[in-house]
Amino acid sequence: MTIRAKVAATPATQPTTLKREEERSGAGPLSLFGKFLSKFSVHVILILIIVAWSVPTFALLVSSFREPADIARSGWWNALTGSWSFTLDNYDQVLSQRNMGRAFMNSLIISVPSTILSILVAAMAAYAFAWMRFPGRNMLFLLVVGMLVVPVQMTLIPVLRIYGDVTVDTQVPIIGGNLFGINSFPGMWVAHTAYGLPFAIFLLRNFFAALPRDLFESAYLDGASEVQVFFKIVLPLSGPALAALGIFQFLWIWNDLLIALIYMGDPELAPMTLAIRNLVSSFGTQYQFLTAAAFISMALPLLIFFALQRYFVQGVLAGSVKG
Amino acid sequence: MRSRGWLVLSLFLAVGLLLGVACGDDDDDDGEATEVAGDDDGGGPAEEDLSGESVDVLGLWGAEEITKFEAMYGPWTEATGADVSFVGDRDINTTLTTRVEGGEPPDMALPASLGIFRDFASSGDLTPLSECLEEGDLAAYPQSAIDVGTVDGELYGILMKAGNKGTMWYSPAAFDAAGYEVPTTFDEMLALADQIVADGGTPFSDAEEAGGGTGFPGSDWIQQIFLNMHGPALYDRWVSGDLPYSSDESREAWELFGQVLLTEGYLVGGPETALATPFAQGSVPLFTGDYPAQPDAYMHYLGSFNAGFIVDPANGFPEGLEAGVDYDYFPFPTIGDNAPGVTGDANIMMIFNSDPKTCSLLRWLATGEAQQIWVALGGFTSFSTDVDVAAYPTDLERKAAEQLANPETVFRFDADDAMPTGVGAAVFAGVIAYLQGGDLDEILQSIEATFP
Amino acid sequence: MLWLLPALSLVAVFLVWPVIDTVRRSFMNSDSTKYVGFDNYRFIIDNPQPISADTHAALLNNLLWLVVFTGVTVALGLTIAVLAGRVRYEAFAKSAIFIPMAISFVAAAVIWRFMFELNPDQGTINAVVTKLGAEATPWLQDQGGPQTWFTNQGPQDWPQPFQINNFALISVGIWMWTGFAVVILSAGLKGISTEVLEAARVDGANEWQIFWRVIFPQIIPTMVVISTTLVIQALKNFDLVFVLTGGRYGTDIVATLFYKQSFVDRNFGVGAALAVVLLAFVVPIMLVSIRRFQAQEEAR
Repeated sequence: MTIRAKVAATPATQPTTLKREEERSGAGPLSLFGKFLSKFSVHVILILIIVAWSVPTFALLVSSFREPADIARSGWWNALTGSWSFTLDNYDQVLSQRNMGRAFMNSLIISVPSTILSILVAAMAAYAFAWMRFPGRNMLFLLVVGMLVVPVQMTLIPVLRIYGDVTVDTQVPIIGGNLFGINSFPGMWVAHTAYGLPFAIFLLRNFFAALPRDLFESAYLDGASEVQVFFKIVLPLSGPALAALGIFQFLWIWNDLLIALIYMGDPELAPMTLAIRNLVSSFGTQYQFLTAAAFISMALPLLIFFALQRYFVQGVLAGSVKG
Repeated sequence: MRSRGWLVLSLFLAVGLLLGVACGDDDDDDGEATEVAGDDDGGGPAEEDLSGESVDVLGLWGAEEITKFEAMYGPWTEATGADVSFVGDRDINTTLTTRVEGGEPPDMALPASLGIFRDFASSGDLTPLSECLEEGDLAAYPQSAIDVGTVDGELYGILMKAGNKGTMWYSPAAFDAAGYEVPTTFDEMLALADQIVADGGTPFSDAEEAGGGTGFPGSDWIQQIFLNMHGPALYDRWVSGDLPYSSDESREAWELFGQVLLTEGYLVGGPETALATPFAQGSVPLFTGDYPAQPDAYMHYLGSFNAGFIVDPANGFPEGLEAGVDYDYFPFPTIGDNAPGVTGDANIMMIFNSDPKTCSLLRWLATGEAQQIWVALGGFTSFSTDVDVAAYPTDLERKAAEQLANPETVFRFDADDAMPTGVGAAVFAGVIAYLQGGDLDEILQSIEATFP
Repeated sequence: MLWLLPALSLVAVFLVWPVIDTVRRSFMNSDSTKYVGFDNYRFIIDNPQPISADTHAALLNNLLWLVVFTGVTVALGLTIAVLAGRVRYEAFAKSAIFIPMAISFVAAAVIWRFMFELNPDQGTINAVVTKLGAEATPWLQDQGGPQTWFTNQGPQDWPQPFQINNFALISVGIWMWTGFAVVILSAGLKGISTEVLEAARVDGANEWQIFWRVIFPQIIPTMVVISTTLVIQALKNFDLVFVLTGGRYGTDIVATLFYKQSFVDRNFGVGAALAVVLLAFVVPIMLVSIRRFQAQEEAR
């Protein structure tokens, strides 16, 4: 109970005061005209940047509704002027592509557990790195974080050798695939978890280390075990950071093609990225499908981002202020 | 010191953990290569019961190519009850390399690179086809195709789905309108180019952009010139590295290529445009401008697969172009007294085990009967003489197939695919550098350095 | 140490073991069948295949990425975060900047093709550029110095790696990663105590002074976190270069060269040596981190 009470008083709840602060700051030394100018230029600069950032994606969006021949012959902006000839064919063709529904499910079956698993494993390690004292802690942490730079391609062959030896080819009911190793969903979960760990541990350790020390001390005084502290203090307090991490992990796993291609040789089990890749023949470009497919595959991650945006902003905040 | 101990310990633990969780073994019991009696007398694939089995095939096809491949193996799945699990990947060399090196090769693969095929054959990763095939199974294949699939005296690969690269694209309508004759020799072609320039037009179009393969059309130009200029014997030595890439013969071929693409006024848009234009759109200038009276360009060199691009408006071509009237190709012009040569590429069918299911699929795909299915659907040129020439859906495809099958034709495998791995990519990079005005000696030296 | 066991075992099997294997392979020949000493590293130094595998250019390009990509992304992220904090449509602005992070590399490749296309009838940037009276440029192919675009001087006036196409690629990287910097930095800005700001204003400091003397020092730790992530991203930034130019036209970086040597050319020895060089790049960054890490320990 005492633990709960303290939670409310942590820094994660701070960052709402600035808006009011900004509005009040009007009484500064700037003249009214100068203030208008500076406000004006803020808007101009910001809107210019937003436009510059959105144009490429907007171009993609517009193109995805154009006829293939139009895409090849004229720039996307021509679709906005002149005759409006938009079509849903591209989306229709991508969605009716064989296996697309199954591929979408596969992407989910791969991404969701991988994301959860990697966060859980990383949180445990980050907790140990942040709050436990043991010899070689710094070196171990740096070893893990140093692995951030390892190109995934470098790991594929050695890991595939191991996977080949540990494959259990018992079919899993409902979701399909082997029980473990190659062509198995659990194999993908473990692989994605491992590849995501360096960044996840890096981010979470910084967050955990920023939690106030007295929180832990009082908990230990109350006789809480480390497991209790982890589940009752660290995890609940880190909701925002975990959400932020979740977004990143989910995005990367959702967009992965390479790892799936190597460890998931079976096209029945392959994620959407592979199904999208198969829209293009060995000689073709087929922009019309790629543009539509790009938006279909972006939809879910963006939805999650917007849903979690509030947490996201706060989460990384607490991690970075101190860390 | 302590951290090192930790490292070793955790590695040990991790491996133990994984092994403990899963003491499985490979699927596909490759030990039992039971002999299956085949009745290879046509009339559909051999009846065997392989139901429940699935053959893992890795290729580089996508989109409609997969549908056509499905049609091709369809009768086999019906006859055997087995299935094909096909993964198409344009980056097939990476995937195949990783899976073979990682000890998990597919059952069958169909890449286009001869280099990777030879590497796997000589490293012992491939299974000799003699373990699956019987005497006479490949009787319909020309010896030159068999030779390409043979490494160290053992047959490891079957060529299928060929591409003919001895094809110079032009528009008969535009040639007629201006009164130009189709050239048969390289000198005639250059004379025609000068004529076109004098008439105020631009003779050539070129497009090199192809993602990871950017520069391949230029590489095709050079190999085709080399073959016609120096003949097949020297070509073979050039490809194997026996004749240095920096030799004078090689240099001459590059210079003639440069004469076509780098001469002021010969190339529409100049080399910079050629490098930035996707190869599928290279023939577009043949039909733009004042077509047919004076199009933006008159000739474009690209393999026979260009026919598929021209009919697709998604590549920027005008709609309603008609084969034989609006577009056609003439054989790559001869140089000197040499016989006309044709370079071409193909997918190489190779296997990594001799399981009954793999052998059964291989035998079926190698038949003319199976290949004729895809031939009829378009976009597939077969080496097998069992395929009925009438089955090709268009005159152009038939012409390309006949050119390949003609005993007069000197056929050679695409040089950048046939050279040792790594050289092909260097040639592509060399083409880019050359078109950007790079020093030819430096380019040739750099490519020579990539030969093992 | 049950807390660390799962993470460490996974990292050991999936990352550390492959690294050890790669170091071993970097001393072996192309198909890893015999030891060749330092030959592969000599390849990187001697650069015998400058046309297709320009190791020197790759190293220089990596440095350019490191400096320009990280610097601009952090600076731009800070600017946007500061400006966005002053407007009502803050959430919208930040979302717009963040969206590129959600885009797969295949989609990014398509998007930027529409942008960089040479033909001004199709390429957005060249359409704008030609409207303004300048000449269309093949952004991804042009190896000229960035000044040639303004002055139309010869293509090789500036030394490697200052090429137009490198800057074009880096802009795409900035486009993708600024959202990351903005979101984190704006959160960091909001964490700054309002009392300190008040006090500064009461003392008569103007906004500019407040930013540099009060706000900036406080967000330096945040900047370090972001910079570390971005530096590592700049180093391993493989996909973006690979899908847009594949390292052609002198845009190779170590990661793309590693990939091409290993998987296209199947020269595992040189590929592994390049990967080891990439890892070696991180050592100084790790040393900085370890110092910060220890300092933080003491402060607690």
